[in-house]
Amino acid sequence: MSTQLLFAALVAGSLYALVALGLNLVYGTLRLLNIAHGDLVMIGAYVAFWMLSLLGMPPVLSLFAAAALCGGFGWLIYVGIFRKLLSTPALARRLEANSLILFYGVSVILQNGVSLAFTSTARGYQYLNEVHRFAGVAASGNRLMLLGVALVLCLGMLLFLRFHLFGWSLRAVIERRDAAAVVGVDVDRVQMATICTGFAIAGVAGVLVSMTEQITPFMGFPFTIAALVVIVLGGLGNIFAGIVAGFALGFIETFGIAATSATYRSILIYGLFVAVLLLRPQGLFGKAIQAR
Amino acid sequence: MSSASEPLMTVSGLSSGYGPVTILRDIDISVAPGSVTALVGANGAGKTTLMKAIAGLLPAWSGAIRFDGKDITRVPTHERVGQGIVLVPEGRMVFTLLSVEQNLRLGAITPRARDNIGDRLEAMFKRFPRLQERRRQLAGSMSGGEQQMLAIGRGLMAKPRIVLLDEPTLGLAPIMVKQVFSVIEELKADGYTILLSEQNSRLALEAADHGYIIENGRVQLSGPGRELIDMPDVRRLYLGR
Repeated sequence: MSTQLLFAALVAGSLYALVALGLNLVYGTLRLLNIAHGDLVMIGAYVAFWMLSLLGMPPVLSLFAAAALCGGFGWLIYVGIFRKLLSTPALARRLEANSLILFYGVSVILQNGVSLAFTSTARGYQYLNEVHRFAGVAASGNRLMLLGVALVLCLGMLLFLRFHLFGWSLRAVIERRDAAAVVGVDVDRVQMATICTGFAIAGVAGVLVSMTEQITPFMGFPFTIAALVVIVLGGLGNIFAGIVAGFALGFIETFGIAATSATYRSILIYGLFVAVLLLRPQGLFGKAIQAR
Repeated sequence: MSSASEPLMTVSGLSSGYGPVTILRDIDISVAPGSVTALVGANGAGKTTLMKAIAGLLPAWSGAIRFDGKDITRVPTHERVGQGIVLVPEGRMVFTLLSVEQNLRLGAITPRARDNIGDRLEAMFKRFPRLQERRRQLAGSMSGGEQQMLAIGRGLMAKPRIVLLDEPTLGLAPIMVKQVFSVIEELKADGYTILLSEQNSRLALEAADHGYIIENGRVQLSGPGRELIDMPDVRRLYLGR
Protein backbone atom coordinates (compact mmCIF):
# COMPACT_ATOMS: atom_id res chain seq x y z
CA MET A 1 0.00 0.00 0.00
CA SER A 2 1.61 3.23 -1.10
CA THR A 3 1.78 6.08 1.37
CA GLN A 4 0.89 8.45 -1.45
CA LEU A 5 -2.43 6.70 -1.88
CA LEU A 6 -2.93 6.71 1.87
CA PHE A 7 -2.45 10.47 1.93
CA ALA A 8 -4.90 10.94 -0.94
CA ALA A 9 -7.46 8.84 0.93
CA LEU A 10 -6.95 10.89 4.09
CA VAL A 11 -7.45 14.15 2.23
CA ALA A 12 -10.57 12.90 0.46
CA GLY A 13 -11.85 11.38 3.70
CA SER A 14 -11.32 14.51 5.76
CA LEU A 15 -13.23 16.56 3.18
CA TYR A 16 -16.13 14.09 3.16
CA ALA A 17 -16.13 14.01 6.94
CA LEU A 18 -16.24 17.81 7.11
CA VAL A 19 -18.98 18.25 4.51
CA ALA A 20 -21.05 15.48 6.10
CA LEU A 21 -20.52 16.94 9.58
CA GLY A 22 -22.48 20.06 8.66
CA LEU A 23 -25.28 18.09 7.04
CA ASN A 24 -25.47 15.69 9.96
CA LEU A 25 -25.64 18.43 12.59
CA VAL A 26 -28.54 20.10 10.81
CA TYR A 27 -30.36 16.83 10.21
CA GLY A 28 -29.78 15.63 13.74
CA THR A 29 -31.05 18.70 15.56
CA LEU A 30 -33.66 20.09 13.16
CA ARG A 31 -34.62 16.89 11.31
CA LEU A 32 -34.35 18.82 8.08
CA LEU A 33 -32.63 17.12 5.17
CA ASN A 34 -30.65 19.91 3.57
CA ILE A 35 -30.34 18.81 -0.04
CA ALA A 36 -28.77 22.23 -0.77
CA HIS A 37 -25.84 21.47 1.53
CA GLY A 38 -23.43 20.92 -1.36
CA ASP A 39 -24.50 24.22 -2.87
CA LEU A 40 -23.30 25.96 0.29
CA VAL A 41 -19.94 24.30 -0.38
CA MET A 42 -20.13 25.88 -3.84
CA ILE A 43 -20.93 29.29 -2.34
CA GLY A 44 -17.90 28.98 -0.07
CA ALA A 45 -15.74 28.16 -3.09
CA TYR A 46 -16.98 31.23 -4.95
CA VAL A 47 -16.36 33.42 -1.93
CA ALA A 48 -12.72 32.32 -1.95
CA PHE A 49 -12.39 32.80 -5.72
CA TRP A 50 -13.86 36.31 -5.82
CA MET A 51 -12.21 37.51 -2.65
CA LEU A 52 -8.87 36.52 -4.16
CA SER A 53 -9.62 37.83 -7.67
CA LEU A 54 -11.21 41.14 -6.71
CA LEU A 55 -9.65 42.03 -3.40
CA GLY A 56 -6.51 39.94 -3.44
CA MET A 57 -7.62 38.41 -0.15
CA PRO A 58 -5.77 35.15 0.56
CA PRO A 59 -8.10 32.12 0.68
CA VAL A 60 -7.04 31.34 4.22
CA LEU A 61 -8.88 34.51 5.27
CA SER A 62 -11.81 33.56 3.08
CA LEU A 63 -12.32 30.60 5.40
CA PHE A 64 -13.76 33.11 7.85
CA ALA A 65 -15.62 35.15 5.25
CA ALA A 66 -17.30 32.04 3.81
CA ALA A 67 -18.15 30.79 7.29
CA ALA A 68 -19.75 34.13 8.11
CA LEU A 69 -21.68 34.33 4.83
CA CYS A 70 -23.01 30.75 4.90
CA GLY A 71 -23.64 30.88 8.65
CA GLY A 72 -25.54 34.11 8.13
CA PHE A 73 -27.59 32.46 5.40
CA GLY A 74 -28.41 29.67 7.86
CA TRP A 75 -29.53 32.23 10.42
CA LEU A 76 -31.71 34.00 7.84
CA ILE A 77 -33.39 30.80 6.70
CA TYR A 78 -33.98 29.68 10.30
CA VAL A 79 -35.43 32.95 11.52
CA GLY A 80 -37.34 33.52 8.28
CA ILE A 81 -38.82 30.08 7.73
CA PHE A 82 -38.07 27.30 10.16
CA ARG A 83 -38.41 28.80 13.62
CA LYS A 84 -42.14 29.31 13.32
CA LEU A 85 -42.77 26.02 11.51
CA LEU A 86 -40.73 23.93 13.93
CA SER A 87 -42.42 25.37 17.00
CA THR A 88 -45.77 23.89 15.94
CA PRO A 89 -45.60 20.09 16.28
CA ALA A 90 -48.15 19.39 13.55
CA LEU A 91 -46.31 21.58 11.05
CA ALA A 92 -42.92 20.28 12.16
CA ARG A 93 -43.93 16.71 11.34
CA ARG A 94 -44.88 17.67 7.81
CA LEU A 95 -41.87 19.89 7.46
CA GLU A 96 -39.49 17.01 8.03
CA ALA A 97 -40.72 15.32 4.87
CA ASN A 98 -41.16 18.54 2.94
CA SER A 99 -37.72 19.88 3.81
CA LEU A 100 -36.30 17.79 0.98
CA ILE A 101 -38.40 19.63 -1.57
CA LEU A 102 -37.89 22.99 0.09
CA PHE A 103 -34.13 22.63 0.09
CA TYR A 104 -34.22 21.32 -3.47
CA GLY A 105 -35.75 24.69 -4.34
CA VAL A 106 -32.99 26.48 -2.43
CA SER A 107 -30.46 24.37 -4.30
CA VAL A 108 -31.89 25.27 -7.72
CA ILE A 109 -31.96 28.95 -6.81
CA LEU A 110 -28.36 28.95 -5.54
CA GLN A 111 -26.98 27.04 -8.52
CA ASN A 112 -28.74 29.12 -11.13
CA GLY A 113 -28.30 32.39 -9.27
CA VAL A 114 -24.53 31.89 -9.17
CA SER A 115 -24.56 30.69 -12.76
CA LEU A 116 -26.46 33.78 -13.82
CA ALA A 117 -24.20 36.13 -11.92
CA PHE A 118 -20.83 34.59 -12.70
CA THR A 119 -21.56 32.32 -15.76
CA SER A 120 -21.10 28.59 -15.56
CA THR A 121 -17.48 28.74 -16.69
CA ALA A 122 -15.17 26.64 -14.54
CA ARG A 123 -12.82 28.79 -12.51
CA GLY A 124 -9.75 28.21 -10.46
CA TYR A 125 -6.75 29.82 -8.89
CA GLN A 126 -3.29 28.83 -7.74
CA TYR A 127 -2.71 28.84 -4.01
CA LEU A 128 -0.19 27.00 -1.86
CA ASN A 129 0.57 24.58 -4.66
CA GLU A 130 4.22 24.08 -3.74
CA VAL A 131 4.96 20.41 -3.14
CA HIS A 132 6.19 19.12 0.20
CA ARG A 133 7.91 15.75 0.37
CA PHE A 134 8.00 13.57 3.45
CA ALA A 135 7.75 9.87 4.24
CA GLY A 136 7.41 8.96 0.58
CA VAL A 137 4.51 11.38 0.08
CA ALA A 138 4.43 14.34 -2.28
CA ALA A 139 1.80 16.68 -0.89
CA SER A 140 0.80 20.12 -2.12
CA GLY A 141 0.45 22.85 0.49
CA ASN A 142 -3.23 23.35 -0.26
CA ARG A 143 -4.02 19.67 0.34
CA LEU A 144 -2.12 19.78 3.60
CA MET A 145 -4.16 22.81 4.58
CA LEU A 146 -7.39 21.07 3.60
CA LEU A 147 -6.46 18.06 5.71
CA GLY A 148 -5.34 20.22 8.63
CA VAL A 149 -8.39 22.49 8.74
CA ALA A 150 -10.83 19.61 8.26
CA LEU A 151 -9.18 17.56 11.00
CA VAL A 152 -9.15 20.49 13.43
CA LEU A 153 -12.82 21.27 12.82
CA CYS A 154 -13.97 17.64 13.07
CA LEU A 155 -11.89 17.03 16.18
CA GLY A 156 -12.97 20.34 17.69
CA MET A 157 -16.62 19.47 17.18
CA LEU A 158 -16.15 16.04 18.75
CA LEU A 159 -14.39 17.51 21.79
CA PHE A 160 -17.13 20.12 22.14
CA LEU A 161 -19.82 17.44 22.03
CA ARG A 162 -17.92 15.27 24.49
CA PHE A 163 -16.86 17.78 27.11
CA HIS A 164 -18.91 20.96 26.92
CA LEU A 165 -22.27 21.44 28.60
CA PHE A 166 -23.65 23.02 25.43
CA GLY A 167 -22.28 20.11 23.42
CA TRP A 168 -24.32 17.80 25.64
CA SER A 169 -27.38 19.95 25.20
CA LEU A 170 -26.93 19.63 21.44
CA ARG A 171 -26.74 15.85 21.78
CA ALA A 172 -29.77 15.99 24.02
CA VAL A 173 -31.74 17.83 21.32
CA ILE A 174 -30.58 15.29 18.72
CA GLU A 175 -31.76 12.41 20.89
CA ARG A 176 -35.04 13.84 22.17
CA ARG A 177 -36.01 17.45 21.69
CA ASP A 178 -38.96 17.33 24.12
CA ALA A 179 -36.77 15.83 26.84
CA ALA A 180 -34.15 18.51 26.17
CA ALA A 181 -36.77 21.21 26.70
CA VAL A 182 -37.88 19.45 29.89
CA VAL A 183 -34.41 19.75 31.45
CA GLY A 184 -34.27 23.43 30.54
CA VAL A 185 -32.40 23.46 27.24
CA ASP A 186 -33.44 26.38 25.03
CA VAL A 187 -34.18 24.19 22.01
CA ASP A 188 -34.81 27.17 19.74
CA ARG A 189 -31.38 28.59 20.47
CA VAL A 190 -29.68 25.23 19.99
CA GLN A 191 -31.41 24.81 16.64
CA MET A 192 -30.41 28.26 15.49
CA ALA A 193 -26.79 27.82 16.58
CA THR A 194 -26.66 24.43 14.89
CA ILE A 195 -28.03 25.52 11.53
CA CYS A 196 -25.58 28.45 11.50
CA THR A 197 -22.69 26.15 12.42
CA GLY A 198 -23.68 23.48 9.90
CA PHE A 199 -23.97 26.00 7.08
CA ALA A 200 -20.73 27.72 8.09
CA ILE A 201 -18.86 24.42 8.02
CA ALA A 202 -20.11 23.84 4.46
CA GLY A 203 -18.80 27.27 3.49
CA VAL A 204 -15.41 26.50 4.99
CA ALA A 205 -15.31 23.19 3.13
CA GLY A 206 -16.03 25.10 -0.09
CA VAL A 207 -13.04 27.39 0.42
CA LEU A 208 -10.83 24.35 1.00
CA VAL A 209 -12.15 22.64 -2.13
CA SER A 210 -11.53 25.75 -4.26
CA MET A 211 -7.85 25.66 -3.27
CA THR A 212 -7.40 22.26 -4.85
CA GLU A 213 -9.78 22.03 -7.78
CA GLN A 214 -11.72 24.03 -10.32
CA ILE A 215 -15.10 25.34 -9.32
CA THR A 216 -18.44 25.68 -11.15
CA PRO A 217 -21.94 26.68 -10.01
CA PHE A 218 -22.95 23.02 -10.28
CA MET A 219 -20.10 21.50 -8.27
CA GLY A 220 -22.26 21.18 -5.14
CA PHE A 221 -24.52 18.25 -5.97
CA PRO A 222 -21.83 15.55 -5.83
CA PHE A 223 -20.93 16.85 -2.37
CA THR A 224 -24.54 16.60 -1.26
CA ILE A 225 -24.67 13.01 -2.47
CA ALA A 226 -21.34 12.12 -0.88
CA ALA A 227 -22.44 13.69 2.41
CA LEU A 228 -25.73 11.82 2.29
CA VAL A 229 -23.90 8.55 1.69
CA VAL A 230 -21.63 9.36 4.63
CA ILE A 231 -24.38 10.13 7.12
CA VAL A 232 -26.42 7.12 6.05
CA LEU A 233 -23.27 5.04 6.46
CA GLY A 234 -22.69 6.41 9.96
CA GLY A 235 -26.32 6.55 11.04
CA LEU A 236 -28.36 9.73 10.69
CA GLY A 237 -27.70 12.18 13.49
CA ASN A 238 -24.77 10.21 14.89
CA ILE A 239 -22.03 12.84 14.70
CA PHE A 240 -19.04 10.74 15.71
CA ALA A 241 -19.94 7.83 13.45
CA GLY A 242 -20.54 10.31 10.62
CA ILE A 243 -16.98 11.55 10.87
CA VAL A 244 -15.61 8.01 10.91
CA ALA A 245 -17.80 7.19 7.93
CA GLY A 246 -16.48 10.24 6.06
CA PHE A 247 -12.96 8.89 6.31
CA ALA A 248 -14.21 5.42 5.42
CA LEU A 249 -15.77 6.77 2.22
CA GLY A 250 -12.53 8.59 1.36
CA PHE A 251 -10.60 5.35 1.73
CA ILE A 252 -13.11 3.23 -0.16
CA GLU A 253 -13.23 5.73 -3.00
CA THR A 254 -9.48 6.30 -3.26
CA PHE A 255 -8.43 2.67 -3.00
CA GLY A 256 -11.40 1.49 -5.03
CA ILE A 257 -10.48 3.78 -7.90
CA ALA A 258 -6.82 2.79 -7.63
CA ALA A 259 -7.83 -0.86 -7.89
CA THR A 260 -10.23 -0.30 -10.81
CA SER A 261 -10.45 3.02 -12.65
CA ALA A 262 -11.84 6.50 -12.15
CA THR A 263 -14.91 5.58 -14.19
CA TYR A 264 -16.02 3.36 -11.30
CA ARG A 265 -16.22 6.25 -8.83
CA SER A 266 -19.99 6.69 -9.04
CA ILE A 267 -20.60 2.97 -9.01
CA LEU A 268 -18.53 2.66 -5.87
CA ILE A 269 -20.27 5.47 -4.03
CA TYR A 270 -23.84 4.67 -5.08
CA GLY A 271 -23.19 0.96 -4.70
CA LEU A 272 -22.08 1.54 -1.13
CA PHE A 273 -25.12 3.75 -0.52
CA VAL A 274 -27.57 1.12 -1.79
CA ALA A 275 -25.76 -1.69 0.00
CA VAL A 276 -25.94 0.12 3.34
CA LEU A 277 -29.60 0.98 2.87
CA LEU A 278 -30.41 -2.63 2.07
CA LEU A 279 -28.29 -4.34 4.67
CA ARG A 280 -28.02 -1.90 7.58
CA PRO A 281 -30.46 1.01 7.20
CA GLN A 282 -29.70 2.21 10.72
CA GLY A 283 -26.08 2.82 9.65
CA LEU A 284 -22.93 0.77 10.11
CA PHE A 285 -22.43 1.91 13.69
CA GLY A 286 -26.01 2.66 14.17
CA LYS A 287 -28.54 2.89 16.79
CA ALA A 288 -31.61 4.12 15.00
CA ILE A 289 -32.67 7.58 16.11
CA GLN A 290 -36.25 8.27 16.91
CA ALA A 291 -38.62 9.92 14.51
CA ARG A 292 -40.30 12.92 16.00
CA MET B 1 -42.88 35.78 47.76
CA SER B 2 -45.96 33.85 48.68
CA SER B 3 -46.90 33.27 52.29
CA ALA B 4 -47.36 29.72 53.53
CA SER B 5 -51.12 29.83 53.25
CA GLU B 6 -51.09 30.82 49.59
CA PRO B 7 -50.69 28.08 46.99
CA LEU B 8 -47.35 27.94 45.18
CA MET B 9 -49.04 27.02 41.93
CA THR B 10 -52.62 27.27 40.71
CA VAL B 11 -54.15 25.98 37.52
CA SER B 12 -57.51 27.54 36.74
CA GLY B 13 -60.00 26.73 34.02
CA LEU B 14 -57.33 24.96 31.97
CA SER B 15 -58.28 23.26 28.71
CA SER B 16 -55.81 21.61 26.38
CA GLY B 17 -55.28 18.65 24.11
CA TYR B 18 -53.63 17.37 20.96
CA GLY B 19 -54.57 18.72 17.54
CA PRO B 20 -58.38 18.63 17.27
CA VAL B 21 -58.76 16.38 20.32
CA THR B 22 -59.69 18.02 23.61
CA ILE B 23 -58.25 16.16 26.59
CA LEU B 24 -58.41 18.58 29.50
CA ARG B 25 -61.63 20.47 30.24
CA ASP B 26 -61.75 23.31 32.70
CA ILE B 27 -59.22 21.95 35.17
CA ASP B 28 -58.73 23.70 38.52
CA ILE B 29 -56.01 22.56 40.87
CA SER B 30 -53.69 24.18 43.34
CA VAL B 31 -50.51 23.06 45.05
CA ALA B 32 -49.52 24.32 48.48
CA PRO B 33 -45.83 24.96 49.12
CA GLY B 34 -44.05 22.03 50.77
CA SER B 35 -46.92 19.66 50.10
CA VAL B 36 -47.31 16.48 48.10
CA THR B 37 -50.31 16.78 45.80
CA ALA B 38 -51.46 13.70 43.93
CA LEU B 39 -53.33 13.41 40.64
CA VAL B 40 -54.94 10.01 40.39
CA GLY B 41 -57.30 8.44 37.91
CA ALA B 42 -57.51 5.84 35.22
CA ASN B 43 -55.13 5.46 32.33
CA GLY B 44 -56.04 8.07 29.72
CA ALA B 45 -57.85 10.34 32.16
CA GLY B 46 -55.55 13.23 31.24
CA LYS B 47 -53.00 13.22 34.05
CA THR B 48 -49.98 13.24 31.77
CA THR B 49 -51.58 15.83 29.49
CA LEU B 50 -52.06 18.07 32.52
CA MET B 51 -48.43 17.56 33.54
CA LYS B 52 -47.29 18.45 30.02
CA ALA B 53 -49.43 21.56 29.98
CA ILE B 54 -48.01 22.68 33.33
CA ALA B 55 -44.48 22.07 32.03
CA GLY B 56 -45.24 24.00 28.86
CA LEU B 57 -44.89 21.09 26.45
CA LEU B 58 -48.52 21.56 25.42
CA PRO B 59 -50.16 24.95 24.94
CA ALA B 60 -53.07 25.94 27.16
CA TRP B 61 -56.13 26.49 24.96
CA SER B 62 -57.84 28.44 27.67
CA GLY B 63 -57.41 29.06 31.35
CA ALA B 64 -54.31 30.09 33.26
CA ILE B 65 -51.37 28.66 35.14
CA ARG B 66 -49.92 30.80 37.90
CA PHE B 67 -46.70 30.07 39.72
CA ASP B 68 -45.53 32.03 42.75
CA GLY B 69 -47.94 34.82 41.91
CA LYS B 70 -46.88 35.11 38.26
CA ASP B 71 -48.86 34.11 35.20
CA ILE B 72 -46.75 31.56 33.32
CA THR B 73 -49.42 30.33 30.91
CA ARG B 74 -47.46 31.45 27.83
CA VAL B 75 -43.91 31.01 29.13
CA PRO B 76 -41.84 28.49 27.10
CA THR B 77 -40.78 25.21 28.71
CA HIS B 78 -37.11 25.99 29.29
CA GLU B 79 -37.97 29.27 31.02
CA ARG B 80 -40.41 27.48 33.31
CA VAL B 81 -37.54 25.17 34.25
CA GLY B 82 -35.50 28.31 34.87
CA GLN B 83 -38.18 29.49 37.30
CA GLY B 84 -38.09 26.15 39.11
CA ILE B 85 -40.99 24.23 37.55
CA VAL B 86 -39.32 20.93 36.79
CA LEU B 87 -40.97 17.96 35.12
CA VAL B 88 -39.72 14.42 35.66
CA PRO B 89 -41.53 13.08 32.61
CA GLU B 90 -43.52 9.93 32.07
CA GLY B 91 -41.30 7.30 30.50
CA ARG B 92 -38.31 8.92 32.21
CA MET B 93 -36.83 10.39 29.02
CA VAL B 94 -33.24 10.17 30.17
CA PHE B 95 -30.67 10.80 27.46
CA THR B 96 -29.66 7.23 26.71
CA LEU B 97 -26.56 8.20 24.71
CA LEU B 98 -25.16 10.44 27.45
CA SER B 99 -23.49 9.17 30.60
CA VAL B 100 -25.25 9.23 33.95
CA GLU B 101 -23.11 12.14 35.09
CA GLN B 102 -23.71 14.08 31.87
CA ASN B 103 -27.46 13.60 32.31
CA LEU B 104 -27.24 14.99 35.84
CA ARG B 105 -25.07 17.94 34.88
CA LEU B 106 -27.36 18.73 31.98
CA GLY B 107 -30.16 18.93 34.54
CA ALA B 108 -28.42 22.00 35.94
CA ILE B 109 -28.21 23.87 32.64
CA THR B 110 -30.48 26.79 33.52
CA PRO B 111 -28.70 29.91 34.86
CA ARG B 112 -30.37 29.64 38.28
CA ALA B 113 -29.07 26.09 38.77
CA ARG B 114 -25.48 26.51 37.63
CA ASP B 115 -23.78 27.34 40.92
CA ASN B 116 -22.00 24.64 42.99
CA ILE B 117 -22.83 21.96 40.47
CA GLY B 118 -20.04 19.81 41.85
CA ASP B 119 -21.40 19.87 45.41
CA ARG B 120 -24.94 19.21 44.34
CA LEU B 121 -23.76 16.36 42.11
CA GLU B 122 -22.11 14.76 45.14
CA ALA B 123 -25.26 15.27 47.18
CA MET B 124 -27.23 13.57 44.41
CA PHE B 125 -24.86 10.61 44.44
CA LYS B 126 -25.34 10.38 48.20
CA ARG B 127 -29.11 10.32 47.69
CA PHE B 128 -28.87 7.77 44.86
CA PRO B 129 -25.73 5.64 45.47
CA ARG B 130 -26.64 3.49 42.47
CA LEU B 131 -26.06 6.48 40.19
CA GLN B 132 -22.58 6.99 41.60
CA GLU B 133 -21.66 3.40 40.77
CA ARG B 134 -22.88 3.97 37.23
CA ARG B 135 -21.61 7.50 36.89
CA ARG B 136 -19.61 6.97 33.68
CA GLN B 137 -22.01 4.47 32.15
CA LEU B 138 -24.43 5.39 29.36
CA ALA B 139 -27.85 6.09 30.84
CA GLY B 140 -29.44 3.79 28.27
CA SER B 141 -27.60 0.80 29.70
CA MET B 142 -29.39 1.02 33.05
CA SER B 143 -32.53 -0.72 34.25
CA GLY B 144 -35.90 1.05 34.25
CA GLY B 145 -35.78 1.66 37.98
CA GLU B 146 -32.29 3.12 37.80
CA GLN B 147 -33.33 5.32 34.91
CA GLN B 148 -36.25 6.57 37.01
CA MET B 149 -33.83 7.49 39.81
CA LEU B 150 -31.67 9.26 37.24
CA ALA B 151 -34.66 11.14 35.86
CA ILE B 152 -35.56 12.31 39.38
CA GLY B 153 -31.93 13.19 40.10
CA ARG B 154 -31.68 15.12 36.84
CA GLY B 155 -34.81 17.03 37.80
CA LEU B 156 -33.45 17.83 41.27
CA MET B 157 -30.25 19.21 39.73
CA ALA B 158 -32.36 22.04 38.30
CA LYS B 159 -33.05 23.35 41.85
CA PRO B 160 -36.78 22.81 41.49
CA ARG B 161 -39.28 24.85 43.47
CA ILE B 162 -41.92 22.38 42.40
CA VAL B 163 -41.24 18.85 41.13
CA LEU B 164 -43.78 17.43 38.68
CA LEU B 165 -43.44 13.67 38.99
CA ASP B 166 -45.35 12.13 36.10
CA GLU B 167 -46.08 8.41 36.50
CA PRO B 168 -42.79 7.67 38.25
CA THR B 169 -43.61 4.01 38.89
CA LEU B 170 -44.92 3.14 35.43
CA GLY B 171 -43.53 -0.20 34.28
CA LEU B 172 -41.39 -0.71 37.37
CA ALA B 173 -41.08 -3.90 39.43
CA PRO B 174 -42.89 -3.83 42.82
CA ILE B 175 -39.64 -3.45 44.73
CA MET B 176 -38.73 -0.39 42.65
CA VAL B 177 -42.22 1.05 43.14
CA LYS B 178 -41.59 0.93 46.89
CA GLN B 179 -38.24 2.64 46.42
CA VAL B 180 -39.72 5.42 44.33
CA PHE B 181 -42.30 6.10 47.03
CA SER B 182 -39.66 6.17 49.74
CA VAL B 183 -37.77 8.71 47.61
CA ILE B 184 -40.95 10.78 47.44
CA GLU B 185 -41.22 10.64 51.25
CA GLU B 186 -37.59 11.75 51.55
CA LEU B 187 -38.10 14.62 49.15
CA LYS B 188 -41.14 15.74 51.10
CA ALA B 189 -39.16 15.59 54.34
CA ASP B 190 -36.50 17.75 52.67
CA GLY B 191 -39.15 20.37 51.97
CA TYR B 192 -39.70 19.86 48.26
CA THR B 193 -43.10 20.71 46.80
CA ILE B 194 -44.33 17.80 44.70
CA LEU B 195 -47.12 17.31 42.20
CA LEU B 196 -47.40 13.57 41.63
CA SER B 197 -49.38 11.86 38.91
CA GLU B 198 -49.79 8.17 39.56
CA GLN B 199 -51.83 5.20 38.40
CA ASN B 200 -51.23 3.48 41.69
CA SER B 201 -53.99 5.46 43.40
CA ARG B 202 -53.72 3.98 46.87
CA LEU B 203 -49.99 4.54 47.29
CA ALA B 204 -50.28 8.02 45.79
CA LEU B 205 -53.16 9.11 48.05
CA GLU B 206 -51.44 7.65 51.11
CA ALA B 207 -48.35 9.72 50.34
CA ALA B 208 -50.27 12.87 49.46
CA ASP B 209 -51.41 15.77 51.58
CA HIS B 210 -54.00 16.58 48.98
CA GLY B 211 -55.42 14.58 46.10
CA TYR B 212 -57.32 15.21 42.90
CA ILE B 213 -59.23 12.51 41.09
CA ILE B 214 -59.16 13.10 37.36
CA GLU B 215 -61.69 11.49 35.07
CA ASN B 216 -62.18 12.21 31.35
CA GLY B 217 -60.05 15.31 31.58
CA ARG B 218 -61.99 16.84 34.48
CA VAL B 219 -61.39 17.05 38.21
CA GLN B 220 -64.07 14.75 39.69
CA LEU B 221 -63.19 14.98 43.34
CA SER B 222 -60.58 16.56 45.50
CA GLY B 223 -59.64 16.59 49.12
CA PRO B 224 -57.01 15.53 51.63
CA GLY B 225 -55.43 12.25 50.53
CA ARG B 226 -56.59 10.30 53.58
CA GLU B 227 -60.17 11.49 53.27
CA LEU B 228 -60.32 10.45 49.62
CA ILE B 229 -59.10 6.98 50.51
CA ASP B 230 -61.93 6.60 53.01
CA MET B 231 -64.70 7.63 50.62
CA PRO B 232 -66.74 4.59 49.53
CA ASP B 233 -67.04 5.73 45.88
CA VAL B 234 -63.33 6.29 45.64
CA ARG B 235 -62.62 2.91 47.21
CA ARG B 236 -64.95 1.19 44.79
CA LEU B 237 -63.91 3.01 41.60
CA TYR B 238 -60.23 3.74 42.07
CA LEU B 239 -58.86 1.53 44.79
CA GLY B 240 -60.42 -1.69 43.59
CA ARG B 241 -62.60 -2.49 46.59
